[in-house]
Amino acid sequence: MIHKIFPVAHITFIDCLRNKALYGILFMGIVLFGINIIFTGMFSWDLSKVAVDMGLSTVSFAGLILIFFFSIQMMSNDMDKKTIYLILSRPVSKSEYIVGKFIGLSLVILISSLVLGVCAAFSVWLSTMTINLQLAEAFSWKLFSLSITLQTLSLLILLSLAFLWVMVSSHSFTAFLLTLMTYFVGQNMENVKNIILSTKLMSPDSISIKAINFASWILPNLSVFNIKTIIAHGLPFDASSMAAPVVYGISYIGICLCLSILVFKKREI
Amino acid sequence: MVIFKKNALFLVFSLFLSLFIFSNGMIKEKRKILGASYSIDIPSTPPNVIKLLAGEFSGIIADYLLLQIGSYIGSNSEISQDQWKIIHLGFEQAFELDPYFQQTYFQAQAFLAWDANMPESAIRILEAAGRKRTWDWRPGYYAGFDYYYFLNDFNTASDIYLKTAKIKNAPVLLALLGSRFAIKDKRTEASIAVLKLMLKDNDLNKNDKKEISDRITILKSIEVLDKAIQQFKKIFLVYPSTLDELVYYQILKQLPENPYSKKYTYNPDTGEIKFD
Repeated sequence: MIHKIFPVAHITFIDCLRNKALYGILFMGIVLFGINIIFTGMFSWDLSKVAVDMGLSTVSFAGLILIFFFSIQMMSNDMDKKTIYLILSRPVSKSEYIVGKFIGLSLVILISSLVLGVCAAFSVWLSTMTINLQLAEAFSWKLFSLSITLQTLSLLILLSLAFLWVMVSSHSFTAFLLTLMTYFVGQNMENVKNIILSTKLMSPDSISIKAINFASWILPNLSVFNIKTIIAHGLPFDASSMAAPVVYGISYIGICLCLSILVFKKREI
Repeated sequence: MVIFKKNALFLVFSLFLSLFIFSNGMIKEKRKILGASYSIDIPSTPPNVIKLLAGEFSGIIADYLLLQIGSYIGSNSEISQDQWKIIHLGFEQAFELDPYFQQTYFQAQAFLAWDANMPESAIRILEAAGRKRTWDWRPGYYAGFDYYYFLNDFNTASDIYLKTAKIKNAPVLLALLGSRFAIKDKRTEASIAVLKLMLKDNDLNKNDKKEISDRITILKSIEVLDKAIQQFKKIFLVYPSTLDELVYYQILKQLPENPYSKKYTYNPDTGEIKFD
């Protein structure tokens, strides 16, 4: 099975390179250097926080662009332009196609995060040199890397969901909207619940809270992967507490891919 | 025909280029006098809603909001009260987006308390920042300052200073100020307790320890004097005209220790004692 998945992943990755998306990401990384130094220099306090914010946000932003404007389009094009026949006419099953495609696109996101992560770290380091920026006392490069890893995992969850929505819907725009909605809900579900409970707008037994609790078993809680504020301010953080979210993320990706395969197998192409 | 087409394209291009240069020049000229920012684009959404909209980019959006507020205030000499209300909302939004950001409470203190004459609004942000930044003594320092300077509330200022003084690396001055305000409100016992606790801190240097120790002595002395003055009034129905009368009429054997070179300042009309 692996030897069939690998060529699909390879072709997907090469296809992405041909689209020059990664070059755009690289360019974004270079621009980040300059912008980070200029933007950070505009602040008077907590400069390191601004520099780290900027770096980590760029990594997330680039990943989201790749998913929303690249991956969804690429998957839908395979269906719409019938190029999928070229792959499925070979001895490649639908499940191998899905897994191969996911690995190929994941690789693009991983490389983008790696490149931008290094650029972000370099721009923070460069800021410490040029504008005499003092990093937060408890700032750690290890945790900075962990933050990028978690952001990447969050992006991969979103990618797996995008796969599912492309398989379920028949149109790339519908898939785009569904993925966008899932992203928005995934980022805010926990916040909404906390606001409702803290402002005592509703009791914990209300239907809305029950609905949010139910949704939290269906939709991904992407906010658990966001530790940017903690890293930027060097707040106390136990890295081992991230073990459960990592397992959660990987299992969620697995479930989404399985569902995508199931839907794809039933789908007429 | 081909030459005409080429020329037509060139003409259309030249026309657009001229219009672009002209309009861009006009825009630049018009906006030059308006400074860094001529309007402030703070969305009128409640702070907790903006957090939902910002999602994982809350940190960077907080940075942007503060930058916008800073450039707007910096470029406008006169800001109306309505505009200050918008700016206040911007600070609240920035705080909600990133409650740990130092710049938010620094700017809120600098602009809201001083320029906008909205010390209560600044205090709310400072107190919230203090609750988040438990290691930082500055929010408490500014909040205490605003209470006594703008609101004339020495009682709350003293409470805040004495509480903030317990934070590691907080300047000794906070405890001293707290205890000074405590005297104004006759709450010397509370400040003695805080100062004694501070004295146990092994990180304190020799000078700080002496300063705290002296302050404890003077607070205790003031307590003794205060009680003696009240006793004097009970007996003679008036306050003593000088502190020496307390010794003369044998209410005290001697005046309590005063580690400072200055004498006690005593007001015989009100029976109040000050030492600095």
